[in-house]
Amino acid sequence: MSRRGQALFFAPGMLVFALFVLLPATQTWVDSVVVWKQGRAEWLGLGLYKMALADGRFQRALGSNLVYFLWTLLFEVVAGLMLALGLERNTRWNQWLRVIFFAPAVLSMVVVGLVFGFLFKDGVGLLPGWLNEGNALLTVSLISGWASAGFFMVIFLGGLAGIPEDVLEAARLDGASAWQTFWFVKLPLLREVVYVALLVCFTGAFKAFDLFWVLFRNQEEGTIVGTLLVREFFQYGHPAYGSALSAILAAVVTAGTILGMKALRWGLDRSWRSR
Amino acid sequence: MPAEFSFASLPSRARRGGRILAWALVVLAAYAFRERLSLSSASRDRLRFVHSFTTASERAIIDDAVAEFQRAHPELPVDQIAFNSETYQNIGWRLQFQGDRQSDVFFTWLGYKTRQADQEGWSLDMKPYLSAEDLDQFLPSTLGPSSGALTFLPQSVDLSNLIWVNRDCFRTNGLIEPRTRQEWLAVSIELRRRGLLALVQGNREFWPMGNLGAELLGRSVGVESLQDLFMGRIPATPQRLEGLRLLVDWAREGCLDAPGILSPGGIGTLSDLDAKVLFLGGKAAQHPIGSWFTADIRDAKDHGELRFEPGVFSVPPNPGEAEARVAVITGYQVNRRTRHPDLAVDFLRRLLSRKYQERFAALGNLSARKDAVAFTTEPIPRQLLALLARPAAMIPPPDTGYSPERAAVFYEICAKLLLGKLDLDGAARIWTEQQPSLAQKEK
Repeated sequence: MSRRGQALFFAPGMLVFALFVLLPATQTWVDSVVVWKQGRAEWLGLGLYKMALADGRFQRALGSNLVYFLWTLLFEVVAGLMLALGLERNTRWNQWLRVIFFAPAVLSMVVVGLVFGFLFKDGVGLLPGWLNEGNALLTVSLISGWASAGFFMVIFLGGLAGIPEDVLEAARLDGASAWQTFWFVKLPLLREVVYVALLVCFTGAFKAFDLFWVLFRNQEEGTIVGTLLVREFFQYGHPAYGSALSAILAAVVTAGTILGMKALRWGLDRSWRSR
Repeated sequence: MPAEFSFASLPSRARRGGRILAWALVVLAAYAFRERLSLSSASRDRLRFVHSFTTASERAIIDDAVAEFQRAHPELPVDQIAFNSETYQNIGWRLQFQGDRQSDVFFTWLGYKTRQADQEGWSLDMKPYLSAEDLDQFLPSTLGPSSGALTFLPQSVDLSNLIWVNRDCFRTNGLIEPRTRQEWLAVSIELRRRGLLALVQGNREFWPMGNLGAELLGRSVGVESLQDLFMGRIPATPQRLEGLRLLVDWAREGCLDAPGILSPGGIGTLSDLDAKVLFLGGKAAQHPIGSWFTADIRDAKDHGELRFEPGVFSVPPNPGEAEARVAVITGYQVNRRTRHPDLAVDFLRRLLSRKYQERFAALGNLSARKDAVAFTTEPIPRQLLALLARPAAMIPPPDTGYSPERAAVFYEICAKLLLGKLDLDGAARIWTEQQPSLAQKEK
């Protein structure tokens, strides 16, 4: 295909991307360094970025995002992998269980938040106290795991289905135990799927908003960067500061994704190659 | 092997089709973003009325006022845009002044929001459209600043901090309604000692107990010093915050939790609606909330769900404290960009007339009209009107009197005091630490 032809096919997607991603993203960045007051632009420079980095609430919120990511790694990715391994065989019973475990993944997080909010609410819920300060991040991660582990299970099932049968047969003939087969054969061959799952989990944990917004409107422990910036932007009427927070969040997620993936790829490749 | 694709190799009809498609996309985008492209304005041929009355009984009154206006002005249809109160307060209120579908008449809160609307040029001076008799109907203190333009017409006054009590619970335990702050703390401790939930409030959104904190502090330091504290003009010290001591004491004595009902810290996870359910369900002895709770009491009575005798008292004073109360005044402004200023004001004249305000009063609203005492027949609203008539300085609730973030800082401090996570020293330190960033963002 000629360059012109490629451009023709590329253009509609690029147009949509430019209109709905590039343009708002640029506008957000511009809003974080320039404010308009009575029709005149006032240059703020990196003042709001410095302020954000020194803001204790932002630091705590970013810390909560990190803790949430670590918990969801366990409750979403590891749980999803375990479910996939448990339900790998194509039996009728397993097919039903896959549907059951995947079902919560199709629910809106707002609905999930409302249901669990009622369940865990102090004073009126069936399991009161779970959302109180001190338990907040663990509880929300568990809820998130309940809702998303099925999604990761499907990703890993896809990866497991792609492992050649002869490789597994060779492992069996060599007398490998189930654990050895998983650790030395399946997991290395699932490497690319693991990268994708970690990437999805990492970006999801740092972009999280809905569940936290529904469950913890104001709790300090339940405040993550997403809810903090929405509060700054809309509730407090500070669009410039809210934009600066979202620009920092975008930078953290991008840098974290690139560095994390590189480190992970390097580390996993080394450890698997050395066996 | 298939030939390479190139745009030039396409038949001319296909190329023309491609161009038409590209132009169609441009036109579609222009249509989709037409509101952003057009100049901000209100409608020429409709009157848009934005409010946050969502209950059926309130909507019925509004609908009747709209119908009366329509009969008088059939040439100008009225569109009602009803928001959820929280959505409107946080986002909807601000967004209604953008785009080409602006409101003409909008519900608002006297204080920070009306000041901002005045500063931004969103509000119309209604003086030229109102007679002296029109204005004389309202309590002067509810009309906003007495000098300059008149941009706000009041509908109702709400006392933000009243203590609703389960009188049966008090009677059974041999307790009487407290007259001083000290007695109030003693009563609350005694209730807790007997295994009861002394006070219930849902502080998930911070404002209910934050408003109570503002009243306690306002009475302790005086209204002017409170304003100075909020604006960071005087430093917050533990001595100045002494008025908040009650919150610390409640937390220390466990007055906000009770075994089997609410675990320690549970107040932070409940919404105000949850707290209402707990109180009306008889699970708590006291419920601090505003005068609008009258309507809930009435509803519960009407549905046969109230199984105790309710009572109400105002925040008991400390000896020597200035009389002050937190009150929120709600009403309407007219958009300065309206094409029909005279008709917009006429609509408000009708809506705020005695005819409709009587009906609002029957729902438990405290009208801002001077003749409210004459048409308010319900016993609790009458008691509240009498309370309102007592001379006292008015403190605006922080979230309507100051910028939302200044209010949020104070509310968060109150919430932490109630959870026992802060003492007064810590509260003073946090308040002081936040001032530079607040000032910088407000520049």
